[in-house]
Amino acid sequence: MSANGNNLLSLKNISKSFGGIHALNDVSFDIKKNEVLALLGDNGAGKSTLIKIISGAYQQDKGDIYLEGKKVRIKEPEDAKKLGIKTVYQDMALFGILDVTQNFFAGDEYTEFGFLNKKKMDEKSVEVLDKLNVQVKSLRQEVRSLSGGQQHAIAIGRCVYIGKKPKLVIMDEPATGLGVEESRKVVELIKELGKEITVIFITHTMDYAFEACERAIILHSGNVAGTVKLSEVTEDEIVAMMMGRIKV
Amino acid sequence: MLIIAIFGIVLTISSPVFFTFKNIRSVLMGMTYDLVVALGMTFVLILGGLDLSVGSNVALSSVLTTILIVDTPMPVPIAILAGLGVSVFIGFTNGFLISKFKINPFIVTLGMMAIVRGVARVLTSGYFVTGLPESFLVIGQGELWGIPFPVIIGILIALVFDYLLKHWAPLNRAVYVGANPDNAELFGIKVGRLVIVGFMLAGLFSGLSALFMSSRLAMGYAQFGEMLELRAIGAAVIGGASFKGGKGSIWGTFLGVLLLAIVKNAFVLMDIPIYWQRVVNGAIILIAIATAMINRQKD
Repeated sequence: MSANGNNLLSLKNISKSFGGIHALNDVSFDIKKNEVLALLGDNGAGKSTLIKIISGAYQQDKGDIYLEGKKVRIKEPEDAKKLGIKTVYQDMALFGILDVTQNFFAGDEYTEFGFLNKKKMDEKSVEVLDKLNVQVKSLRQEVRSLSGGQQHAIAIGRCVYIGKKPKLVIMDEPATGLGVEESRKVVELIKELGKEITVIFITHTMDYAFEACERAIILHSGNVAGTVKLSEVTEDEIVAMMMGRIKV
Repeated sequence: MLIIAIFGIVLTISSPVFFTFKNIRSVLMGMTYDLVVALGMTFVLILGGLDLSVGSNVALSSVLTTILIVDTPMPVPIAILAGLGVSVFIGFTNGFLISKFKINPFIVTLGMMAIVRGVARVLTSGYFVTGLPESFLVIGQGELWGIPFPVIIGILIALVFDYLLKHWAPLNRAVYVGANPDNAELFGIKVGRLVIVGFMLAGLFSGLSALFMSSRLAMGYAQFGEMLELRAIGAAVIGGASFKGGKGSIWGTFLGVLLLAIVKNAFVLMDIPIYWQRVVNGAIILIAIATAMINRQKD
C-alpha cells in the first residue's frame, strides 16, 4: 500500500481505543495526490478520532501512517504541520477576541530576528482575503464580529495560504452552521483547492460530498464500511453503509 | 487617561504643592514599586492567569537579599542575584504547577502567597533587616538629574517590555494563549512553556521591586509588598487587561498605576486621614474589577 507513488497518504490498520471503547478498528485507506476525498459516517463512527490521529491531536494505539510512501510518526500537531498536514477544525479554532491578521498568522508569524513584520503580515492578509473573495471592514476587526461565512473563509485561508504550503488539508465539517449560500461558497472553495492540494473533506451533507469529491471512505462504528467512487453509488447506498447495513 | 487628567487638574488647583518637581518625583517614586510588579501581572493576565503571590514574593526577596548581605560575607551583586533568583524560582513553581497539573492559578498562587510570606516571617521573626552597605543603598537612593534610579529603571523596563510584548513573537504569542489555550496548542504554540515563562517574569519583576524597595528604604522587611497583588491586578484591569486573557497593555497598566498613585498623593496633599486611603484604593480597584467581570459576562 505504501509503495504506490500516486498516494499522498496511506493509513494502515489504524486502531484507537478510549478505555474499553474501540473508536477505530484496523482502519486502512489511501488518498491520492490532489484528490478531494470525502470521509463520511454517522456521529460516533470514528471520523473525528481518525482526523485527530492524522493531525497529531491523538496518537494511534496500533497501525502506521505513510506520507508519500515514507512511514511517519505524528506525535503532536506540530509534527503534522511540519509534514505539511493542516486541519480546518469543525469549530474553526479561531481566536475570537483577536483580529483578522492575528488569526491568519497564529503560530506562523512573519518575523525578522524574532520580531514581527506586521506590515508584511497585513499585506499577506489582504492578499488572502482577496483570493477568498472576502471583504472585511478592517484587518483590526475582532473575528468574532464577522459573519459565519467570513469566519470559515479565514479558517480555511489560514490553513491553506499562510505558512508552509500544505500537502494535505483536512476539512472537518467546514460548512457547519452556515446558510445555504455560504455553504455553497465553501464547497466551491474546496473544489478549487482540490486542483492544487489534497483534501480530506468530512461532511454530513451528502450533496456536498457528491459535488466536491470523486471518492468517499465511509466509516461505521470505527470500521471502514466502504471505499466508493461517488459516480458509481447512490446516496441511499452510502446511507446504508453509514448505518452498517452493507459493506463494500 | 481622562480620569487622570481630571484628577491632575483638580489637585493642581486645590493644592499648590501638587504640580511641583518634588511632589511629582515623590509620586513617581511611590508608583515605581507597584509599576514593576504590575508589568509582570499584566503579562500573566494576558496569558489568562493570575498571580496572587507577587506581594509575598517581594517580601521574601527583600528579606533574603538583605540577610545575605548583612549576615554573610556574600558580595552585594551575588546577594542581589540570589534574591532575584528566588523570585524567579517562586514564579517558576507557580507556572509549573499551573501548566503541568492544570491547577487553577488562583489556588496555586494563593497557596504560594501564604507559604512565601510565612517563610519571610520565619527568616526575620518579624524584625527589620538593617545595616545595609552604601553599595546596595545606592540602587534605590541614587539619582540622575534629580530622578531616583528606580524610577528611571522602572520606566525603561516598562518601555522595553511594552515593545517586546507588541513586537517580539515569543512574548506576543501570549495573546493566543490567553485568547484560547487549546487552539493555541493546535497551532504549535507551546502553551505550557509560555505560561511558565509568564509566571517566571512575574517573579522576576517582583524581585526587582523588592530590590528597589529594600535599597530605597534601607531595610529588608517581611511586611513589604502587602496588598501589592491587589494593586497590581487593579492597575492592570484599570488599564484594560481582561480576566479572560488575551487582552492587556503595558501603557494601560502604567496609567492604572499612575491613577492609584495620584489618588494616594491626593490623600497626603488634602490632609485626609491616611487610613481612608486603603478604603478608597480598594473601592477603585473593586469598581474596575467588577466592571471587567460584567464586561466578561456580556462577552
